[in-house]
Amino acid sequence: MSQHEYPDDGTLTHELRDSLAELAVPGRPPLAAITRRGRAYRRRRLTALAVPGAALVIALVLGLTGVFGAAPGHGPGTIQTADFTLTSYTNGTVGLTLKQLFEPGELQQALAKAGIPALVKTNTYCASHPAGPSPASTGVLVAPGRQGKAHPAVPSPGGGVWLSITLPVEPNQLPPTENPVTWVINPAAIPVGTTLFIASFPIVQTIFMDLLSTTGSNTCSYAQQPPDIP
Amino acid sequence: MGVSQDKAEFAEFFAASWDPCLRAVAATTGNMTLAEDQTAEAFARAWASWRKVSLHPAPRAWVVRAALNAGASWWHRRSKETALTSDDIPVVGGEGTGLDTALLTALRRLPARQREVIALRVFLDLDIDTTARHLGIAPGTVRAHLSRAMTALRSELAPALIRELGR
Repeated sequence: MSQHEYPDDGTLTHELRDSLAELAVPGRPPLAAITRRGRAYRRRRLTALAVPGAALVIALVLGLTGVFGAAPGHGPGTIQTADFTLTSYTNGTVGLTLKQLFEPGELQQALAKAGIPALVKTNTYCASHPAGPSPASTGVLVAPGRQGKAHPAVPSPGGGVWLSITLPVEPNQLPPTENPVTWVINPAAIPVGTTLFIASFPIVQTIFMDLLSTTGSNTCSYAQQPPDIP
Repeated sequence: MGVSQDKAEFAEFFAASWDPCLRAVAATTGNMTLAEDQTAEAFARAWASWRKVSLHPAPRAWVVRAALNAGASWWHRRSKETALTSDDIPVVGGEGTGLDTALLTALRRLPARQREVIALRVFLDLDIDTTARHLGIAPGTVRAHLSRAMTALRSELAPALIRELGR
């Protein structure tokens, strides 16, 4: 619908906003009441998840909902959390499926369990001096892209690769047109003396991957997007 | 990030966002008492997932959406217990001008999705793309909902606007 058909939408929008600004609201409750209610909500959520049994409760305490070595058909094993899934395939590669915004430390720990040395950050850009090799050209990143359709990650001039994705805060909030993103990583191809760097930039909805040297110097700084994104 | 830093950040967000979020939820649902509870629940859930919500591009939109979702569940449960008419729902803004009351009453009559679009796009001033991403719908669908909502509001408000201009 073009604005020409409704030339006074701006006026109506302002009237709605003005009307809202005049709306008297009760004072906010004490912060302690909100955080207490938040803790109760978290407990309810964990209790609901714990129904299948004690083994699952133990896995949740560890931050995992799957156990390595317990996923038939996918090779050695699968690590599954609410935020991501790591699947080890029989050829030695590992599929990383990102489902929603993730806790960097949790993903880094899970990658280590899957045999992938990695540094995972949010809103942080890290670079090696000298620069590490590209994860795509070294074969570390075998198949970056979306499940079900070709959507290659974009190589950045600095050697890293990035992909624009939508990561909701909670599951089942992805638009119907968006599939979870799966990256296939080959741990054996990670050159000695390097580590995989994964950064999420929620504001620009981008995931960035690169290889960092562990022998040279690395610098990390706060950033809202990788520097190579136009 | 430590717990104390998390709590300090959340406290700042809560203090700055309570009023605008509650206003958006109340105007969208038409019930201040219920909106207050829904908004408190939404902030509680935001605190429960603060490390992720704090990274969200539009955390206020997250809170408003969570509050409206909580409200939808409440109304769904309530509607199974007893049939509601529009007269059962207390209207906010009744003590304001006639135009305010008319606006809020008109908002209350919109379909739920159109009210969500109004809450995010108009009351929280999010752009079309962010609103679309947040609701999980296409930008074109947001525009369509917004257009239909504005058409309905304009139609509903015409008599009130005329009365207001005649004062």
